[in-house]
Amino acid sequence: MNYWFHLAIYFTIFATVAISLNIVTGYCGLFTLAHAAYFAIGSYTFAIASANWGWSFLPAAGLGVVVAVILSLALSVPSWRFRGDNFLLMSLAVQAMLAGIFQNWWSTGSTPGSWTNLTNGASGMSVRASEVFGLSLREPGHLLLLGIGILLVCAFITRVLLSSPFGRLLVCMRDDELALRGLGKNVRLARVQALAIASGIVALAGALYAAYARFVDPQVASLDQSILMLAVVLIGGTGNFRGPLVGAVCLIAIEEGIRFLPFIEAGAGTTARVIGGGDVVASLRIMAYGLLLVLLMHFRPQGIAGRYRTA
Amino acid sequence: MSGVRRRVQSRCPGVRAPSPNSYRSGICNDGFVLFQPPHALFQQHFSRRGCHPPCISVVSARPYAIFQFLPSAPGRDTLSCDSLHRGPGRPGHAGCAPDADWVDMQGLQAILDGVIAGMPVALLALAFTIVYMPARVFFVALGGIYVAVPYITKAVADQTGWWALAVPAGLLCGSFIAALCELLNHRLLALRGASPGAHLVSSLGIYMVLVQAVALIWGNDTQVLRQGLDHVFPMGPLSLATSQVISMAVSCTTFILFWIWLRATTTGPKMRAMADNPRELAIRGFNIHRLRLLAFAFAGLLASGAALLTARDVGFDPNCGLPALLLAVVASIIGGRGSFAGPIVGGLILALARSATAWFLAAQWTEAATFALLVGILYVRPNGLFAARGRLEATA
Repeated sequence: MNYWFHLAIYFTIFATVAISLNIVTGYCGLFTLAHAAYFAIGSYTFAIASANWGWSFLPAAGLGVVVAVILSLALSVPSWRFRGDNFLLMSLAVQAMLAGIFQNWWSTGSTPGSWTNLTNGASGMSVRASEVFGLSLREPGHLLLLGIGILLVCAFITRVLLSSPFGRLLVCMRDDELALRGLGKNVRLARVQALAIASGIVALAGALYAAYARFVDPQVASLDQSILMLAVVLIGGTGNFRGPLVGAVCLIAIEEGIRFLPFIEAGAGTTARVIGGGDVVASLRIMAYGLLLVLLMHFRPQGIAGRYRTA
Repeated sequence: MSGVRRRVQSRCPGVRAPSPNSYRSGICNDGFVLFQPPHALFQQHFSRRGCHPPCISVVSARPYAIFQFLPSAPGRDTLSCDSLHRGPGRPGHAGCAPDADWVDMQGLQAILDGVIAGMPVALLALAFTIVYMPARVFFVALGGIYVAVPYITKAVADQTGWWALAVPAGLLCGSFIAALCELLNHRLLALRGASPGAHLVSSLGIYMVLVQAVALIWGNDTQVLRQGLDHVFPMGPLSLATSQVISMAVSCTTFILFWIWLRATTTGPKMRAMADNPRELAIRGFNIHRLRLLAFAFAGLLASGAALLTARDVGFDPNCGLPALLLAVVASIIGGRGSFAGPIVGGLILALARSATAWFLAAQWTEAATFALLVGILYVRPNGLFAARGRLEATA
């Protein structure tokens, strides 16, 4: 039973991530590599707020959202005139800098979460068991309820927002920015807002992840994670509502499907045995993603359930 | 969300001991260890003490490496600095502040190291540009080739024992993989009229497959192509390692040959024309598919060269491809993607800036310096240092 809880919670986390990334990739038409860094901002802020000040889940995660929204300006303001490859590189720059902060803001001797040792460097921080409305998040059931709640709220917000004039503005910006500027729309402001919303939602997912995994380290913010997130969204499909959900389902299906391959001797939920020093499940999973990306670009560039051809 | 190796942190590269051939190690005050390469030696040194090698990361290996002890993750062995104090061959505490008699020339040495470190970066940047300009493909899979080639070379050398066979075999393999990428993927996409994004994403997919295949076959450990210690040539107060001499010679020769090829052959000018306007060239009856294939194969060759040079100098592991490629892309943007000289100059500028940052500031800021440079250049000159201004519709 715990295994299914694990899958369901994992699904809610990644579906929330995919929904937020879809705003940037599907509606704004921008590839970003900084998304995992904003995810990690949510995780770290949650970890620090709940450990230092004993905050419960909602205020701590809310603080994470606020921090991520403010820091999203670091990506959106310098890059507001870039598209395509140049935007990709700007997001990469932001990712490198934020990951550098998680990696380097630490010192020996002081407790994790204090001002001189904010992130505890590469060794990561353990996260205090949190609670929401008096329910302890040690219970997988409560955590799952919270995850479903977050997913539904985020999905509702995105849905309303993207079917509003603001959503149409983003779609127009993606399709023909010059024309929109010619019409006198404030394109840059719209993009700043879209990135802020996406960063806020992904920070919420990051807080949920931290509450579930009870441990955060700089690997959460790594470039590989950003690429994985991008792959999930591109495989699921961009530019509409169901694509990211399909992407998250594919993520779970691929990962768990590989776990049950006959030549991998491992129980569910554990790391597979090691061949040649590498983790086989992780390698095969990423390989499957790579193959899927290549095949999809040839046969279905809009993703499995997508509408807009991002690529 | 784990399983990926902890990546390298660099700090105080360029620090070296007074007599280059002596074996020396020392601990910096904050857990960094000065050590001479190769990694194998280092790992032997610590495996005797029951240390788990992945908790150590290589910082700089030219010609004295600085290793950092990563704080242990849960369930992973830690090596205390005390065990190092008792290590063999350690003449005394070195510390991050070097001795007074060799500190004054170290700034110059850091700059020299920086310029030479820029050579492979410039090669890789040239490889990226040679595909990007004519074919408009953001060739991420080049990072995969960069990873695969040293492993292939090492495997061939281990099997046959001939480095003279292994190095050309590695270069050819890299070139061949790149050509396959074009034949099986990018050409088909281009014929379908796919957007640049589709090329980027599928190339990223190929990169993921290549890297994971390498990790599955050969494992995740850091290896180095050279056997034993590298020979160091003292030149007055400065010194050069053999790897650096090879790197400089090979890169400069390649740049000169490439320049001659661009100017003095028949295909070179065609390539330049294609970089300028591929559609027009096709309309005029040239076979652009053959030219594209040539560009990809050439890019694979250059990337393999860069990979081998770096692998001999500082070692390689399956995760080194994307950071190296992205550094090269940053270099090509700084230099400007509008000309073939841009990436070379950009690579040198970038490596110099990184080296200067590491030396005069702190090495953990090299990444920040790299991207600050990128952001600054993109902001002031979005097309790079060596590019003419385009029309608004033409800029990406």
